[in-house]
Amino acid sequence: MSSQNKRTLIPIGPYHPLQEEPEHFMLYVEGERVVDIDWKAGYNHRGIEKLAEGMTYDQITFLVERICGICSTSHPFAFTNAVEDLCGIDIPERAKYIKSIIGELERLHSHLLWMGLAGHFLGYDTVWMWAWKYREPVLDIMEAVTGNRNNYAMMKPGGVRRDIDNADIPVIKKMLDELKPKAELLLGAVQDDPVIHARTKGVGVLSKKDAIAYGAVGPIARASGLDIDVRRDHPHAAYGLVEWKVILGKNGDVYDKAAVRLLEIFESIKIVEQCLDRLKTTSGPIDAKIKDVPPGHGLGHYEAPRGEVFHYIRSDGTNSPVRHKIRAPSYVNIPTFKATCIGETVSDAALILAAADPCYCCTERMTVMDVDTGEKLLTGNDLIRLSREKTERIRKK
Amino acid sequence: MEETRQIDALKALKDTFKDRILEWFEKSEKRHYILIDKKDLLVFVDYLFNTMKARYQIISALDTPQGIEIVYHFALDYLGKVISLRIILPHDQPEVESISSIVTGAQWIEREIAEIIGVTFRNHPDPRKFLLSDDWPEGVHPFRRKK
Repeated sequence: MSSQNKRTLIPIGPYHPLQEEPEHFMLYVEGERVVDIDWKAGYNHRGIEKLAEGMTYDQITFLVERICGICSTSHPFAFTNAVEDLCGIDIPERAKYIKSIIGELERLHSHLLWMGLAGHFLGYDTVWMWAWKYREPVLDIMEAVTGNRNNYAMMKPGGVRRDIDNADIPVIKKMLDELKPKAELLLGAVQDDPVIHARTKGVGVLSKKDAIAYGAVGPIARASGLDIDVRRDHPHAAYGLVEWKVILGKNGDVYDKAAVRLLEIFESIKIVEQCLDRLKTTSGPIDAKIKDVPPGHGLGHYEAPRGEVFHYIRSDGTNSPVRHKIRAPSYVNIPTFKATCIGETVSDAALILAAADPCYCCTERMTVMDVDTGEKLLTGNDLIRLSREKTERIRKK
Repeated sequence: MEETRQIDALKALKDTFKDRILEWFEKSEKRHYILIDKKDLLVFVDYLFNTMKARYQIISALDTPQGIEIVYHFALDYLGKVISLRIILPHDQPEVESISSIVTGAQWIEREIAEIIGVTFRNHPDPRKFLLSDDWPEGVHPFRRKK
């Protein structure tokens, strides 16, 4: 009981209009140490799985595109994979390359976005502004190719909705060429900075064993040395047709999580470049026409920037599914906080939560309260300040 | 060589549980759906997760005329295949053992399924409410279909 009295609860969330995913973390701390963490969901449940039961397969592609604003093409990618699996069809070669190009461009902008925010948390506002500046050309490419900076509406069951004009390819390649030295600069900034090493190395370690037990996916799992990537392990679209490699870390700490993401930027550029080259010599249709949807199972997955997105559909042979199960990567990545946050300090907790890439804006909503009196001790901005002050102290040393 | 390994892993699964597999449906080379009895669930999950080193993906639940169906998805990343275990629970008493003792990551989805479709997971370490609000009426499950 006496230790209970010393415990302080830090509620993070529940939600904020700017948050990508509304969630409510409860950090239990004793002094500076995090002793337990809990989570509550459902604050902004949109009932998308239920909505999908009342829509046709073509309509659902647009519905699932709106699950996430950042990885907006990953859900339609996985969903169309599921429908193609259900119907047992293979998509035309040109569509395969276009699908992978859109998927990888999205990974580029998502990783750069994460990098910027991680810099902000650490007190490196220059990194934040640079990363976001370099992210802009990626969004410009998206706008040129799809017409939208986000929610691209490129996927459809059986292929893609729009073709890429071969005349645009040199322009896109030039923009990617210009991105490479910028990404190297960011990588160098992380690799060579002793302060970043001190703040991130050995912090928030997720062991390989825990990563497997929680079913963690994406850069989080790969930073722990778990060699999984849906793009390589379950080849689809153009991923089996081009040369690239899976980036692995080994320590599972915040540093490795950052390094894996940064190195993945170069692999994504490699994939896009090869796909663009192949497009020049690949002609033909960009979609396979689906006439009938058979009853049965359809299962599709795709490696989103944050990890595997999973879609399972059960069809009764009509043009709507009877059940559509969706699992986003954060659903299996967030529970790993139980393994990574406990025992760490409050100033590191914000960084560890951020390293999983699920919740930036919610950390803005962090408030430290006294459990007994309900009195506010620290706000979200105070926590970011704590994190930044720690960096400053290390820097002075 | 690669091909023999592929056949071996699935053959070993078939040989180990030959009597307990009620139906093995190979939707395609990459997708296998295995219908089993709920009493055998834990041994299957243990074999897939710990012996075959399959990666836990997620659990789907749906209400069908035959009963409430729970589908446990496991990815064999080294073979590029997905194995889904299916169990069917009766509508009047939908109860099954929790797999959280084997797969820690399954805790959330079991809590979610308990709410949305009304399945009781026995021996769940943390059977609290998950998605629905605290004042949600008892016995109302949004994914249950009306008779």
